[in-house]
Amino acid sequence: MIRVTDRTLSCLDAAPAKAPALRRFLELLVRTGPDAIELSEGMWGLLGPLPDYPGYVLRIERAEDAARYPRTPRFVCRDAPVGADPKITGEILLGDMGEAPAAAPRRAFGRVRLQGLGGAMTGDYLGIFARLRERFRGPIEFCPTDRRGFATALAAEWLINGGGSEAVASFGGVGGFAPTEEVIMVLKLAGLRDAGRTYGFFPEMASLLQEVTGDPVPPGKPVLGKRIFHVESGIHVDGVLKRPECYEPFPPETAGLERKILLGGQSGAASVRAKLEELGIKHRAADIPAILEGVKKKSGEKKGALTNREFAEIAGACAT
Amino acid sequence: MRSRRHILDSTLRDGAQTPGLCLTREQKLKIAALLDAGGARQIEAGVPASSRREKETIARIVENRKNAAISVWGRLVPSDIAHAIDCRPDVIHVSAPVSHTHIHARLGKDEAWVIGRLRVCLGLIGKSGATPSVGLEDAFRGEPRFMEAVADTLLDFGVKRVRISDTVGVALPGAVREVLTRLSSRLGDGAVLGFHAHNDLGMAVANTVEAAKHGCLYADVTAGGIGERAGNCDLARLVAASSDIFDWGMTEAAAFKLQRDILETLRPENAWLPDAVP
Repeated sequence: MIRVTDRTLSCLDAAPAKAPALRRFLELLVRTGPDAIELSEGMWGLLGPLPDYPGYVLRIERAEDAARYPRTPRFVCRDAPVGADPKITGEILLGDMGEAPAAAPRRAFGRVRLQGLGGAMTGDYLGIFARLRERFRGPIEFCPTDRRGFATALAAEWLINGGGSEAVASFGGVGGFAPTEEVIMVLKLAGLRDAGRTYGFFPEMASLLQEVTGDPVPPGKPVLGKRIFHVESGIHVDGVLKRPECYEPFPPETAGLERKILLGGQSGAASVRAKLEELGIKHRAADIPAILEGVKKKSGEKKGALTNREFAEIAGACAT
Repeated sequence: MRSRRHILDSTLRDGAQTPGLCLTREQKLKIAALLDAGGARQIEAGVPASSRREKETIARIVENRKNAAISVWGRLVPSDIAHAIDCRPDVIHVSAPVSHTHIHARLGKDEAWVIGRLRVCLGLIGKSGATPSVGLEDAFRGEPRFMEAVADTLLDFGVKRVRISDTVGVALPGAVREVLTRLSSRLGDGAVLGFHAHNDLGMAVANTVEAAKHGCLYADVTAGGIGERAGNCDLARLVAASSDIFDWGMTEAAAFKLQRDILETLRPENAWLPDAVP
């Protein structure tokens, strides 16, 4: 069974402690459905009492700190001895290519988190995965770092082709890990989890994260970006209107986004027809070429997409 | 020793399809000049069939270039190929859909139509003197047996340049390996493969590296990864991520500068474009 842990709330201690935004973020994170949600001690205190959820994990600095949280079922702790306490997952930092520190245990049977391997994609990463599974014989939570932009692919390969079953990620990739939303969507599209579940609240989560970190979500960011379902080029609009999956990897509403047809220099006749219908503008088929020419001319003049009003003016001027 | 791989920059074709982005002729010529001087092996200059002005711009890019090969893009439409030939590019790339969704739902055709049209288009390109290149569109949702039939057609025409396209960005690295292995085996040693990624699931750079590891000589990129939806493979990120194993014909610093210069060319009217990442 594949398990995903989200560690976003153990990566935000350096950000301003905006409790209302973080509480709402946590509520939505629970609805996202990770198998575990990890919090730092700071967040644990700031956000308590926590919403009902069975999979909380507390990140602690030292193994002995676990004694201060007697009712907490699971902990993760950097360099804690693997297998010494079944409630504590020992976290080990690996090198870029999976090199384990000399002090790391061999053939240990306890639960372990392995963090790193940011560069493994450039090598035989499946071989690296096999060696790690040989070395650490208990459950392995793999937390790839995103230093080279490979983290989502590494998490996906670990879970789907690499013999692993547990991955750790963070929403938006905060802290430098695989973005949770990307890992979840990969697994969903592969039919491996969350069939039927949608994430209409992702835009709100992105907005809350932006409020907390101050870092804007790029408009083209996978799964979260506001513009990723905007479509302009003639060939793409034509395809999407005939069947959205021609040019959409998943329905926009799955991630709380909307398809929007833009009119501009790359538009084609299908875009013009669609926009005329969307705006309820009566037209004759013979007018379409002139309207399209007007759209391209206007787009060139303003160096961008047209507004609906600009389009309606062109359509009105071209009506015969 | 690092293996040589080539940058095929599609900023002026797939990047230009970023919704809301409108490039002037001057911007296109400047970007082409930057890429030509900056180490791109091939510049995909645009779609000649899209307009007379686009054709004129591409013809200027062909005239001006000093180093890079110039390619143009066309559909499986003979008139697209005729427009492409008019621009006198080095490479004419024709995109052949290989998935049921694209062939039947988008085009309303069948597999025999694709093969027939491909033969017509390759015949036209063959007479032009340009190098033919064929893209397998939506290859990761395609039927393996039909892709083999397309590959056999390419062998009939002596086509060496083949591009595998992850049109909706759903491929995993494992699928990239599998498709490339199967296609390489069918096409034989002489094939020159390329990979065209999309970043819908955040794996464009990783998939491109995996493709390059498994024999793809050309990597399609755009400046800043701009393009439809979540975009394409980001030029500077690709070079930075894999320069320890591949020689892309430019250093990490040069790729970053090239990307930054291209994005600055576009930015005055497009403040929402991504920043170049060092």
